Formats: sequence, C-alpha cells, structure tokens
Amino acid sequence: MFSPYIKYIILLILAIVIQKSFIWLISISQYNIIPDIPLIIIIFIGLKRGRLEATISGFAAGLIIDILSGTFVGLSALVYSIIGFIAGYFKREDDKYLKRYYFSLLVFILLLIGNVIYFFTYFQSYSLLFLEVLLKYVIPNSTYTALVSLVYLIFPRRKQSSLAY
Amino acid sequence: MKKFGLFLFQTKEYLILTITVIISLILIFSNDNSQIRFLRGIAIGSFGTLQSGFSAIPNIFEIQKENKFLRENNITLSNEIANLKEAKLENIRLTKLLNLKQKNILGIISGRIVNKSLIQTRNTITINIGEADSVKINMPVITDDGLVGKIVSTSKNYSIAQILLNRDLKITVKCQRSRVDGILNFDGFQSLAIMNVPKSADVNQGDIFITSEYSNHFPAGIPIGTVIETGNLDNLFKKIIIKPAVNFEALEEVFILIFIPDKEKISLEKSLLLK
Repeated sequence: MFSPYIKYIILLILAIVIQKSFIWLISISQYNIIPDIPLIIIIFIGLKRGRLEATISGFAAGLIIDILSGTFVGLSALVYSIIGFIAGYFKREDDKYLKRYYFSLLVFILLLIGNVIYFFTYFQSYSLLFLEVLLKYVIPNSTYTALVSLVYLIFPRRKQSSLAY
Repeated sequence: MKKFGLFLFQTKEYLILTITVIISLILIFSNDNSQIRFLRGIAIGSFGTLQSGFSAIPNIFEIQKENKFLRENNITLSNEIANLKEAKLENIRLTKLLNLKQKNILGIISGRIVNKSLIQTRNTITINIGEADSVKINMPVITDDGLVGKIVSTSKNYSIAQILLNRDLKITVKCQRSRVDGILNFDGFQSLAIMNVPKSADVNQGDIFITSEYSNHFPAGIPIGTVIETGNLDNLFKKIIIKPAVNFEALEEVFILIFIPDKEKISLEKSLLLK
C-alpha cells in the first residue's frame, strides 16, 4: 500500500514520538535505563535497505532527537549515522539477520558500539571512570534495548513464496 | 569524467557517511550558534503542540504516586493553614522589604509543564510559555519550594528548561548556615552532589543550600535542597549529597523569573578572562 520509504519514515517518526513522550512506560526509571527505540528502527532499516538508506535515516532521526533534547546537538546524529552504516553491512537477500534472535543480538552489539561513542563523548568533561560509564550506562542501556527489540520477533512475517514456474 | 562519476557511484555509501559525520561534528563544535537556535525553535514549537495534546493522557503510574503524595501533603497543609493566616501580614511586610528590584527581578511568569523527563542524564521540562510571554534563554525557573532549573531553548509558545537533575547544569551554591560555597551538579544517577568541598568546611546533615550571589544566571537566596549525606572524596575534599527542595515527580506548575543579570559584572569578569 505504502512505498517502503514512506513506511520507514512513519516508523521513524513514531519511534521518535515514543522516545520523547512515552518512554517512561517501558523505562526502568530507578536505574536510568531507557531503551533506544529509534536506533532499533534504524538497524532494521539497515538490514532491510542497506548502508545508504540507514545512514541517511540515522542522521535525520539523530538530528531531530538532538534538537528536541536542547543540548549537545550533533552527538546523536553522529552515533545514529555510524550505527546505520554498520547495520547496512549485515543486509542479506534472505534477511538472515532479521530472523530469530540474530536481530536482537545485532541490536545489542551495535548498541554497545553506539553507546560507547555516545556516553564517552558526553561524559568527557566529567571525572567518571571508564568502567563506571560502561557498567552504569553502556551495558544496561544496550541490554535493555536488545531485550525490547525482541518484540520484533512476535510480529508475523510474510512467508517467502516457494513456488517455481 | 565518466570514471570519476562511476567512482562516486560506487563509493556513495562512504561519501554519505563522511558527509553526515562531518555535519555532525560541525554541529557538535558549534552548539550555540543562531542557526541551531532557529532550528530548535521550530522543532520545539511543533513538538510542544504535539506534547500538549498528549499531556491530557493520564500517566497511571505517576497518578498513584501523586495521590499518595497529595494525601500526605493535604494533612500537612491543613495544619499549616492556621499558621499561614498569621504569617500573611508578616509576609506582606517582608515582601516589601525584599524589594525584588534590588535582586534585578523584573517580574514572574507562571507556566504549566506539558512534558518532562526524569529518567535520563539530561532531564528537561517543556513549559507552555515561550518568547511571546517574554521568556528568554538562561532565565531561572522556580516553584514556591525552590529552584527548578533554567531555560535553555525557546520557541514562540513553548520553552524547554534544564532541571537540577541534568548533568549539563552546574550551579554556584552556598550553605545558608555556614556560608560555605560549592558547585552543585547532578551525579547522573539519583542525587545532586557538591564535589570538592574542603574537608574542614562546616557542613552538616540537614543544612540548607541556596543559590549563591556569585551566580550570573540565578538571583541569590533561592533554596536548592537539604544536605542528606556528607562523605569523603579523597584526603583533601568531601562530597555533599543534596536532596532537592522541589519534588520533580509531582511538579506541574512553575514560575519563570524575569531576571536581568548584572551586565557590568559579567563583562568585567569576561574581560579579565580574555586578558
């Protein structure tokens, strides 16, 4: 019904609205652990469409989130672009990395990379230890986002046609 | 030429990545220029309109917490009403004595919170008043309990304020009793902390911290919070943990102070730094 691009744009806008307005519904607020919904969508776009589309959509989504946050404009755009680009490397014709638990595993690994860049840039002027940032921010946020991405597995997918003519 | 075109086509993904990374880095290093402020204004305006619609949807988790808080507060307030009647006359006299103009405060604007985040390291609130109501960047945001934060972005009808629970906000504070100075910052997890206070400084549990007269963005004397813990940072300094005076979870209405900092003082300090 929709062109795939419009579908991805709608998905991204929806993810940004959720991230900025309803994230408290699924956050572990006591420990500052919040999932990164737009990044899950960007990784999905990377696996479906490739590096080019994922990099551009990552940059756009990151920039919108930065502008809405009010501070450190450019940091999320940088991280999302890089993650989108790396995710695009895993694009396969048979959607191998979108099946079973591969997707969540990939989300976890890419989130680790993204969060390391994000939090270590963000906390550059603070006297926090490498291990402290890793244990309190990078690993919990990456793990929780990967767990949230498991939701993707419950969506029914169209079966590939096995008919030959 | 054809070869160059083919080369560009083959490496388009890398080119796009390079361009986006360069743009991001330029944005990071020029974070406060006018173009970014303009973009922020448009984004905040449109997102604020969207969020004010969503704010009508009740947050069931918060409502439960808020009900408990309100019930407790109701009992306390009933007792306080009697005392307040007596204090009313005294209050009128003291307000005159305080003379807001002496503190460079030209007025107070009230606003309603349409969105807030309390679970991130860069927590902010979105308020339903903006440039049309004379709100400007860096103006202090308060409640009757104490300091909430300061305005960081504005659009025509909305503004965003960094709250005390935001790692980017650093405030010069002072102990009300012993006049010990320090710089307050959110520790990123649960509480507000004042680091690098000399071990010999006279600060005890229960002491109240207020904004300092050294601050260029906040008028002096606004309550910040109460000391709940003092611990050693190293051999020379200690770390003081502060419980905020404002209950951010139940925060709905705020006041923005139209505060004009002393320009002469700021320019003198800046000129000294540039020497």
